[in-house]
Amino acid sequence: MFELIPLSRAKKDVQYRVIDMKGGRSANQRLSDLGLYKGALITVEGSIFGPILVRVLDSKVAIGRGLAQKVYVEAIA
Amino acid sequence: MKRSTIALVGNPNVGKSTLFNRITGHQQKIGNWPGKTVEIKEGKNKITDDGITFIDLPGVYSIEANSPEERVANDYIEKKKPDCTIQVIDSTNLERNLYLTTQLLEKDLNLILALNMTDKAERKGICIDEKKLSALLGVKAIKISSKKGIGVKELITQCSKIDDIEDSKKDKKILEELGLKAKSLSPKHRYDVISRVASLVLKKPRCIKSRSAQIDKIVAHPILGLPIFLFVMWLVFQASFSLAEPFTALLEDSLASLSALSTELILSSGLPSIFASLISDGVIGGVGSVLVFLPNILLLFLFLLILEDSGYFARIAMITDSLMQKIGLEGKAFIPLVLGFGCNVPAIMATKVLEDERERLITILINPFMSCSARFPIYVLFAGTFFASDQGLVILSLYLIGIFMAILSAFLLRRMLFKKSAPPSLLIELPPYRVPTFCTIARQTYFKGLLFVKKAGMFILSISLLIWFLASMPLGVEYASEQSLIGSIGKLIAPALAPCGFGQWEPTVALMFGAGAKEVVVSSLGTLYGAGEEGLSSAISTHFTPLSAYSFMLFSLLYMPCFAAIAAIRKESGDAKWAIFTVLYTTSIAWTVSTLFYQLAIFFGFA
Repeated sequence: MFELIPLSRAKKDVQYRVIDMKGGRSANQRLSDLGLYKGALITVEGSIFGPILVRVLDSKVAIGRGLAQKVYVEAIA
Repeated sequence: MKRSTIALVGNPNVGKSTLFNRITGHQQKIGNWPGKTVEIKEGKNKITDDGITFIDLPGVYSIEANSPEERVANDYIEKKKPDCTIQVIDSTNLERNLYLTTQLLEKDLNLILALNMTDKAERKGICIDEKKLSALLGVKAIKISSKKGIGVKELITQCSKIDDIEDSKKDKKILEELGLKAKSLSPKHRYDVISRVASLVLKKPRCIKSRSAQIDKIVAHPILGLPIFLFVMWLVFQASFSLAEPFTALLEDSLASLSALSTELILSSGLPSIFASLISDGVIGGVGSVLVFLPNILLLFLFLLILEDSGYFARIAMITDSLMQKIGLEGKAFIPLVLGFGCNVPAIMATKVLEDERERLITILINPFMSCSARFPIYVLFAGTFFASDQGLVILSLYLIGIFMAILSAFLLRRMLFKKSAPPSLLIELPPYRVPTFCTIARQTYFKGLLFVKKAGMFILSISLLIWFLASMPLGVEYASEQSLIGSIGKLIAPALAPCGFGQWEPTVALMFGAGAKEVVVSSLGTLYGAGEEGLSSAISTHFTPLSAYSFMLFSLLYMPCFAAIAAIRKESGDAKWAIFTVLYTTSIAWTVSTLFYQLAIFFGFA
């Protein structure tokens, strides 16, 4: 079993699965609209000037550090 | 042809506007959804010219009614029941786009999927089996390229072929098969359905090479990103002002000759001179002072649209977000605020990019504190006269005070109106970089400009006429003189401005004129002191002290914005009460700050 970490601490170029989102209802809904739902596969592309850059489905999404701390992910081997 | 309205929905950045423009050409109407500030564009089909009306709904990721845009898109589909709904889909990002599709499928709609950017997808090696997709979802899917015009005609023809009854029956069966019939599905459930569908219809290379990733390596580089961003901002301002200059000069010249011509015509026709003054001072002078900013407004808007369309806008929001969060705002508010240094009108219109209604309102309300270019001549005159050696520093201090008041106001408004302490965290899609479609952008700029002139025009004209009336009555007085109504009002109000250090009627009246357009403060002072442009500097040096001059600049910076900006606030906030609030709030701030400055300075013996 891999360790559960907040997205803000995820490593670059590693694939993760979203396990939990604790940003509140409206933030979770906005995340889901962009393809970040519980169970989604994502790749972290790096952090630029604070926000975390995430590749999800075929798009790129920037997530503020505050919100990224509330999204829990697990690395995929 | 029985069908009359077709609505376009889709995610942001899928080429929906380009498709809409291709179908409707020049005949477009922009309207607002009742009670909301979200724009809905309407136009007649000119491709097959069959009288069908196309509706361009705002770009949304879902229709579960989070943002004003989503609410409007949802309300439109549910209440107006368009005869056919086209979802425009970015073929290079099919799965994410299908999320909205799963929501649309649950509604009672005649849905058609337009798989846009099909040429781009093919170049990337992405292959979509649209026939299979149609069969699986029970709705027609057509490959198109709105940029190149491929498949658009077929799309329109298909819309007219939909047979409602049969299709909706079929829909239900298919939905059950897909597992989309249950109520309030979780996002995971929807995405599971999507990935099942995608596995059957979508073939894509394991690794998609993207030009955007290459560009982002430079543009969103931790070190290079900042100078590039500053350069782009500088370019936007430099270009919009130098490009606007010839047009502004031309407008000024033509307005001046128009004014002279009308005066001559009226006087030669034997009408009393008051009519000549009404036309030249009231109508042409008043409306003209706002009109001369139109080139600037349009150019700033053009650049804003280019930034948005190219995909760089989202990067700016990302780059500035940390900084903006520190001062209690979000990254998306950065551009609307910075544009305010050019002109508050397009800046206020640019707040549309903020999805959160409250953030949008806060950004609108604090925008007037961003010192627009029309206030610059006031600073140049006063700082040049009283602080010649430290001119630059004095002017810079005003800009910084403006920014500080904006930040402070954002904090206060958030606490008092919304009882919240922090803006939402950044969450934004970084769309692929694109070369903006020139036609689409030019057209949007044109419509924005037209809309603004139409909406604000009557308001500005009536205020101009009111000011003219006050300056010309009672009959026979010299225009805007001490004996005129505005002079009397100025004298009445002046004592209230005495604590600020400039309690005479002339500066008071100049500030009243400045409400029409801020740069008018300078020319009004010239008229009021009977000095003209050359003698103005020496005239104000006898009427002001360095302290009262700085206090006057502070007041000019902070007091109510011009009527054009007020009209923009009223339109973008969707409620006249916010326009009135702005007038009262900014003017009381101006009075308080100027008074505090002047009185404290005197108290500490700087007089």
